[in-house]
Amino acid sequence: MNEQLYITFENYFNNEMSQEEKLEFENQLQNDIELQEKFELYKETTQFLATKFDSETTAFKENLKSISKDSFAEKEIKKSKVIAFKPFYYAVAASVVFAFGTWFMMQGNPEYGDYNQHENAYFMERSVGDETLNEAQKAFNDKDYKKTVLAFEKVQNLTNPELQYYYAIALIETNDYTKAEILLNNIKSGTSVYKDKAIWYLALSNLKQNKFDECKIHLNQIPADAEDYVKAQKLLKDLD
Amino acid sequence: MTDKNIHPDQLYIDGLLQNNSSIIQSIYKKFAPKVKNYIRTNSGDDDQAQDVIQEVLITIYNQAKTNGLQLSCPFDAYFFLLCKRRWLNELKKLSNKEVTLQDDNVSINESVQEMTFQTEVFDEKQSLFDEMFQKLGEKCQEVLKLSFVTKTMEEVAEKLNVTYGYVRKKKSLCTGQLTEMIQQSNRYKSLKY
Repeated sequence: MNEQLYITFENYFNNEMSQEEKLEFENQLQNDIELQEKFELYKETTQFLATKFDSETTAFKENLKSISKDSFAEKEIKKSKVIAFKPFYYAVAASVVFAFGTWFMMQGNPEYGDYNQHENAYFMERSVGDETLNEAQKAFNDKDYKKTVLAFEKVQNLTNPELQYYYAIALIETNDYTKAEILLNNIKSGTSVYKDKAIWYLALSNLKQNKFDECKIHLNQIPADAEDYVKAQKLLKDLD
Repeated sequence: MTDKNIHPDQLYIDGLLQNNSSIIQSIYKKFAPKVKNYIRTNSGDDDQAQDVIQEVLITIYNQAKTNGLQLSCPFDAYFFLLCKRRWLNELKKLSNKEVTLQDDNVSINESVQEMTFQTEVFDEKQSLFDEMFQKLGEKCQEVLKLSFVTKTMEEVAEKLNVTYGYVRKKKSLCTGQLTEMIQQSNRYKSLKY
């Protein structure tokens, strides 16, 4: 094996060559078809490995699996509705539901629904007179999250971490995870009092999407003096 | 390819790439029933349909992520043809079983064929890469995996308790070894020509 060749490729990709070396290498590449082929294959192999081991790929596969399962299960249920029910079947069905429910409570994964009791929003006192914010606050406290999102969308320059925080919760509730996570990550990297709470909601967002591994990573980042620490530890235990 | 040639259905490709749940769900809602129906009427069942659909979507994702994928035809036709052909290959593997095929004789649009062909070549390559990766030594597999999962090579060195220089060199050599194994395989030769 031509060891030096592969080390050169790697150095080239990582931009760890002097200008002179780089020019010489590129020159060599242009004139040597065999070298070109090896170089292209090395590049392709690297890209293949990068995709294979990217955490996004793992997350995608897990999400796909769960959506696929749900989508196929849904159709099963629809089909079974066609069967005429007799009293006996009700009894069987009831006991199956009961048994399944008990089993599920005993070993099922914890769910987002167990943790989505959000505290009320009171940001209006500081910006009296702002109709849009008033609307957002009221909708949020009424648990009308679609309306909350619509109201927040009208707010310009949403830079206040407190507002971002409530907006993100409403986005999680309406399944707009990408947007929610951008906001939460933004709060997380800041210094506001909502910093640790943002991590907790990042974990809940993961939980709602069944991304348990990412959820655990976030839970572990919540410091011991944070308000949500106890809840986080409990959820961590339930996830294991 | 210019932007003009990108079909509006590119949104499904982008949705897969961004792991956008609502788009993935809509793919299942809109396009899966046709595939399911086809597989059912051609000696298969729901579980097999579920597997085929999942594998095809993973292939599309991988291609989009690795090389970029610009859709020049409707997603429906492209996705259906990929699923159909994968299922036919599956049936061939199980060929002792008697196969009853429903031939639909629908003429297929050229750009759909071209897109499908590209994805199948990518898939074939990917499975070759995967096969060869499994044949690498354990140490090489570990170093390569870590160097792509971990942010910096310094961290990889720390995790493996070796020097930065060693791990850098090892990564190049292992990737090199992998490329040689790929290049020497018969499958690679048949892919190229």
